[in-house]
Amino acid sequence: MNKFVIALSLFLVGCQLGGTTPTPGPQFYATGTQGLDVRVNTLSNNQLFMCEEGEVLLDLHNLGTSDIAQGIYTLTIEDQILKPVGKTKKQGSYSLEGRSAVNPVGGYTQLGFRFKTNNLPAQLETYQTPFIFNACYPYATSANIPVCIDPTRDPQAARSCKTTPVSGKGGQGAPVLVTLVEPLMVVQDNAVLPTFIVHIANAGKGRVVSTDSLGFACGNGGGTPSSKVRVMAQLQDEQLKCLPEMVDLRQGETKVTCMSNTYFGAAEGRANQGTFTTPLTVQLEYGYVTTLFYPFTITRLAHQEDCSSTQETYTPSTVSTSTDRGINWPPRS
Amino acid sequence: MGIGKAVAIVAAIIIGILALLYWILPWWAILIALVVMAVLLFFFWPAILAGIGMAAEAGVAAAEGAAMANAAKAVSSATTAAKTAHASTPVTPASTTVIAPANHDPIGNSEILKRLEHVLVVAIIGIVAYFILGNAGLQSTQNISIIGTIVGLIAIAIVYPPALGVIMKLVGIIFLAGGGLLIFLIAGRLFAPALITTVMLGVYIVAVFATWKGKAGFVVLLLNTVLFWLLLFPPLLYYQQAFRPESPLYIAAENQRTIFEEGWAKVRNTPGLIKEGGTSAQQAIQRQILIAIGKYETGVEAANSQPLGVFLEHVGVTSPRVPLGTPIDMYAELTAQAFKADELLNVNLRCYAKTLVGKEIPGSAGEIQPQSTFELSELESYPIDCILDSTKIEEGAAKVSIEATFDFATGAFLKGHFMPQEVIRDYARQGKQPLTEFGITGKDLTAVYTPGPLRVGMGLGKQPVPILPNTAFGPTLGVTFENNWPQGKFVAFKKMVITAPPGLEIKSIDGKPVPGNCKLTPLKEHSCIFQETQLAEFFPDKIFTKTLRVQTQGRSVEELLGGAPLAIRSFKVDVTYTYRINKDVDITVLPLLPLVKP
Repeated sequence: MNKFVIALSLFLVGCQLGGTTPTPGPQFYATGTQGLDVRVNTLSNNQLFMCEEGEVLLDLHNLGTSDIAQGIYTLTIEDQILKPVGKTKKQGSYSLEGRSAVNPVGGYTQLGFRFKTNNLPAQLETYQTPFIFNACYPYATSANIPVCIDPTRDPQAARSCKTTPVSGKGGQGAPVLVTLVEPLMVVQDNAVLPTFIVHIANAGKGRVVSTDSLGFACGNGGGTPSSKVRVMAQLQDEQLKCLPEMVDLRQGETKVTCMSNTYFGAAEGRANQGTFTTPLTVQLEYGYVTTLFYPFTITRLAHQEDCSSTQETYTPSTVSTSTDRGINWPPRS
Repeated sequence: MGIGKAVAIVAAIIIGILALLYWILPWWAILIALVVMAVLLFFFWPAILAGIGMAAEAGVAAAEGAAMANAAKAVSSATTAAKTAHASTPVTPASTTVIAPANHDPIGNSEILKRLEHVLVVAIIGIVAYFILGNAGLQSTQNISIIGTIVGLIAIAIVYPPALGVIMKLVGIIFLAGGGLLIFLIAGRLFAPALITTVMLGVYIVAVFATWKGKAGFVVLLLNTVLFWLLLFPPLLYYQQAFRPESPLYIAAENQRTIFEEGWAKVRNTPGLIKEGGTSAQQAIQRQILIAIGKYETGVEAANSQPLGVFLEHVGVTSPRVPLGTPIDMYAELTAQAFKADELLNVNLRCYAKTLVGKEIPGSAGEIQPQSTFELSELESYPIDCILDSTKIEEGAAKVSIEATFDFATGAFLKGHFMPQEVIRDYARQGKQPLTEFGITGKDLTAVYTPGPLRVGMGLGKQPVPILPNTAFGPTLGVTFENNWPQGKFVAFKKMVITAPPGLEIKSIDGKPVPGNCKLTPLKEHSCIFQETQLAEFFPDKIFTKTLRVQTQGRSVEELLGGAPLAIRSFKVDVTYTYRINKDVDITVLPLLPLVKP
């Protein structure tokens, strides 16, 4: 009898009710501390002979959750030794979509740069010269931190949550992150004004600049040097007042105090809502600079004097923005 | 101690010394043997003498004993005869006591055999010694004389034992008195430096004085000095007669003579050495001053698979000892390593003789075969010979020198890292090193010069170099020139090209404006060329370590930075100059003396 009951139960558990239920896709979580990831494609060649042409292929991958619109780059090369050829330019722009539920891997593009090596200084067999790629782009961090609002003044009362600090160390899909939120319930009369101390830090490998300093950081002369991050916070559709509104991350982790103007609890003739958890949305806006150093080694062939007899070849620069992937795709973090 | 033992000891000493002369032992064994012999001679000499004395006494006693035995034998015979002739006549005891030693047969047969054995031993020693000394290089006449004297003395001692003590003492004196000479020759044969030879002789002299005291020691010292002089120095130069040429003894004597002459020449040339040392010291001081005032610029030599320059390799002479009148053949291999195949390296060769202190002997210049001038391309090598006339060189030790004078080029570059001043300040405010943020390390900030006889250091001060927009600011480049080869000598600059990167131009050098020397290249570099006469103004001093200060000014910030937050631009220095290298070889010019045939 017991065996029969168990078998029937299993059968019933295995059955579904009628109708079609959509299969849920992979859940998207805005985590990590990466923004734009720049890597040298393995097809690149940094071992060149004098007077020879070479190509550097860079894989640009937006591993963060913010879209990059009109990011700019500059190349720093030793023009006396490396001469850009074809459509290779020392400055340019790019746009890349961020990771999202519809594009969980993020946008990708490949930039190609072709060079021809000039004459080496006299009597040198080998010469090392750098290829420095400097990418400057506007970026944003959107952190949704669950915070506990506790308007209850009775310490003995039952609570559904506690107003303890909430860590954001896992990142919010951007190099600048909210590392910690400390909720404070400021009591006024019978109600509380929620206040949050937001800790912000740069966890990426690049440099934070102000959005209006991006041009300056990438050398086109626009703007002035500045490294400010704009901080905005929202709680239940209310824009909080954050002080300071612009923070400088040059000295490391920085704190911002964001205050609500809304009273919670038994105030203004309404009943106490009790303790509840609600997301605090912190929006950070900034510019970010990522630098890549790639050394070239140029070797003089035996009996090679100068490049005057070598004919210059023309090869157009390759720029592709597609789903094409390089050999080392996807990049390993 | 019997006479056989005494002779054996002396023989062992002689054979030991002769074996040393024959160079069958390594140097350390020779030293040990010398010490052992010294101990034997200095500490057991009295015992040896006593032994010899006892042997002499024993010899006398043996002679007396033999006489007594003969007498007894005679008495016995007489008694028997008497018994036979006069059987009834009683024999008185007194008749037996008055018998005198017989003089008609002083030595018995067994004693003769024993002495013959001694003579045989001495003869074998003599033959071995003759053989060894002959192979060591002693001419036969001298060999026979020395061995004959020693063997003769020993033979006399055997034949006439009472003389043994005196003779052995005489032999000992000869050996001790000539010990200095022996040490001198051994040290010379082993090519010991003069210092070690001097120390060994010093120890010997102290030992002689300690053993024989005051006057006797002085006599030994004087005797040694005279022996040295007669053997090694004019007018006699006895080693050239006493020793066969090219024999170990000859080479030993010659080595010691060269060492002594070099030492003496240095003493005579002390003022010159002091002056030369002073020049080197001045040069070192000059360098230290430049470092102290921050005007000494460093650089690293570029890694090349081949050393660059002109080299004289495998230098030697066909014979280091040349009789007067015989040509001296000095040979070498001339090698050139350079990259510039389109520009030939002009090399002028010269050879001549020098005194031991390095002063050229007038008129001694030799003839270079196959030719004295070469135009070399990269990686070329030629065997060359220099034929010198030995009659132009005085007898004795000298040096022959081959000299190559050539034009060579050295290039150097320094990567300058330029950033807008505001960017540098921004990094500074963030507590970051701007260049480190771009992945640039310290080695990228050091000048690199190509291998060769000249060292070129360069510096731009602290990097990155700030660029001030809307100003004509340009950094000052320091360029330090220094001799890179200790064995060579810088002669003169022929040409210098200093190149500033695009966006900068050279304004002056050491404060002197140089507008007429400069032009823009197709790569928009600003290049200034200086020829020999103008370069002489920049390098007026003989002391060579020198830093030039090259003042620049900004021409175009856009050209310099190229719209990037960081620009890497190279300064270049290329110099062509004349340089001289030389290699010396020691020779000895021998006098034309008739050699004594063995």
